[in-house]
Amino acid sequence: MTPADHGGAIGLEQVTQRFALPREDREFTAVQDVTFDVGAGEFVSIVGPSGCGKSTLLSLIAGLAPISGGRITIDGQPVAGVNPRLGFVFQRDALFPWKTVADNVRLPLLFRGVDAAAATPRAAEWIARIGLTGFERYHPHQLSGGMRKRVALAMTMVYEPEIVLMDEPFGALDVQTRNLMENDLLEIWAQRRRTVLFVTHDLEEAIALSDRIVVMTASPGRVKSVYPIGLPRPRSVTEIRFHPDFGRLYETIWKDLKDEVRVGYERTRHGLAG
Amino acid sequence: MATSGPGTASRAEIHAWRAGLLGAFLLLWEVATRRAWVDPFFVSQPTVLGAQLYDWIRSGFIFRHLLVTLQETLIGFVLGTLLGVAVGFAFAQWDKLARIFDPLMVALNAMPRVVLAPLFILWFGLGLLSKVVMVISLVFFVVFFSTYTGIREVDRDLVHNARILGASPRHLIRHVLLPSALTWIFASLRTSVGFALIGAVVGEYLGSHEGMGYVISYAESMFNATGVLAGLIVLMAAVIVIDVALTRLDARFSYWKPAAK
Repeated sequence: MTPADHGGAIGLEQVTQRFALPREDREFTAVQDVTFDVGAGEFVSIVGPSGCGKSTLLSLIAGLAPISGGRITIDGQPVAGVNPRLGFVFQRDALFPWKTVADNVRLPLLFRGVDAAAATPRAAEWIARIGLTGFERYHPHQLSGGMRKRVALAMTMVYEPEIVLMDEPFGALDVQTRNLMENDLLEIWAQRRRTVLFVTHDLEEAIALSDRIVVMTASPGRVKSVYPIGLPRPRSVTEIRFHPDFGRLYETIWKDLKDEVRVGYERTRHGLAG
Repeated sequence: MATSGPGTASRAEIHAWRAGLLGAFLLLWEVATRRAWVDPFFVSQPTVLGAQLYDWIRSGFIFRHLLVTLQETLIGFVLGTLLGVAVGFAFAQWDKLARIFDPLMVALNAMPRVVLAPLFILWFGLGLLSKVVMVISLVFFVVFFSTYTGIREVDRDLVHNARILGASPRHLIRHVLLPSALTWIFASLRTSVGFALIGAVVGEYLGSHEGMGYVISYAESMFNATGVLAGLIVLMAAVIVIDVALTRLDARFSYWKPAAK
């Protein structure tokens, strides 16, 4: 399999991740035997109860942590360290607080060796794309949560990664801002067709955005089921909810998910996580 | 209606209180010594102190000594800070280094530098060098521990994000670790500048023929309480000026932070 100019397929085979808990002298298994694929250009969401290892999976795919068992490949190549063709939008917007909006968006290009003269117009283009023209000289603390999130999105998109991992990126936003950003994301995705792997605990969000949904079990996280979402595109997240299939999909997946959520909830309530 | 709780006091009100309290204190001191409730031989007298300070300033005597002290302070402060930042960085970067030398750093820091001062004078002479070494020995540890902590406490998300965005180890230092540690380093500079001045003055006090420490030590040997107190007032003024300057500098480097409160 040769990586085409439009690569970005992710493969997970029997992925297991354990962490040592030195104080309790035992190991904690975050995810176990997780196997699924994401095709190049596909939008896949992972849903599951909190603590099921969704975020762990993303950091393994990103190459931020070594894997304890199994195999993760990107276009057939095993993951070994941080992959320059990959982007990651974090749960907390990890902007550099001492840099202006323009400098933040330019930074990944400078890291990649693009010279300043070429980086500046590319950054400006993305700042315009996210609607923050005029805010170039602001610092992150002067922006609202939604604006910061948009800057984080621009920082990722500016270097055109083939794969974008998103870890509950809109979790902290109010519903209106969130819907606007979800639509923005869909529009960007439709234009560029990058692979997106999206982690969320919000089932509605997952259905509205994705081609497929992976449901995970409570900790240790395994794949419980995978649902294709055949809703028509292009979608608007606010309108797709009224599509007749939406409710049916929601009901089916929720039935599957709710037991896991309950197990996860009971465990954390009794302080027995893991 | 204006309330006068501590939370609502205006700047002018605070300044008025400060001036009032200081005035009352000086007045009490003056009256107590004039009425011979306390012997001015031991505690001097505000008016006499004022006359002494005026005399020192007019003759230029004090500037020569203050300049010597400030020179030692500045050189030691700059060198100690650079050394502290460099070693703090190295320790934060190479964990092994930190683990090997941690007990040594703690032990060295626990050593009372004031007691070491005579040794420094023995090794480096009565001049500038022994005082600079003394200042470095005080400043270094404050800055070192702050830098070390500052870099270790860097937001992990930012480091991860930088790595994903393609930062090399050098980029990481320049764009993430250093700016984030600067906050801690600046906080420590305000503490260490006080230490720097103490180091220089103690060094002079124990062995030198110029500088504020020498002036105070000489006055002491003459049982001249006025000279000692006037020397201390000059030092106090110097510290306040330096602190204001550092606060301004800190504000310049903290432009990216939300305004406090």
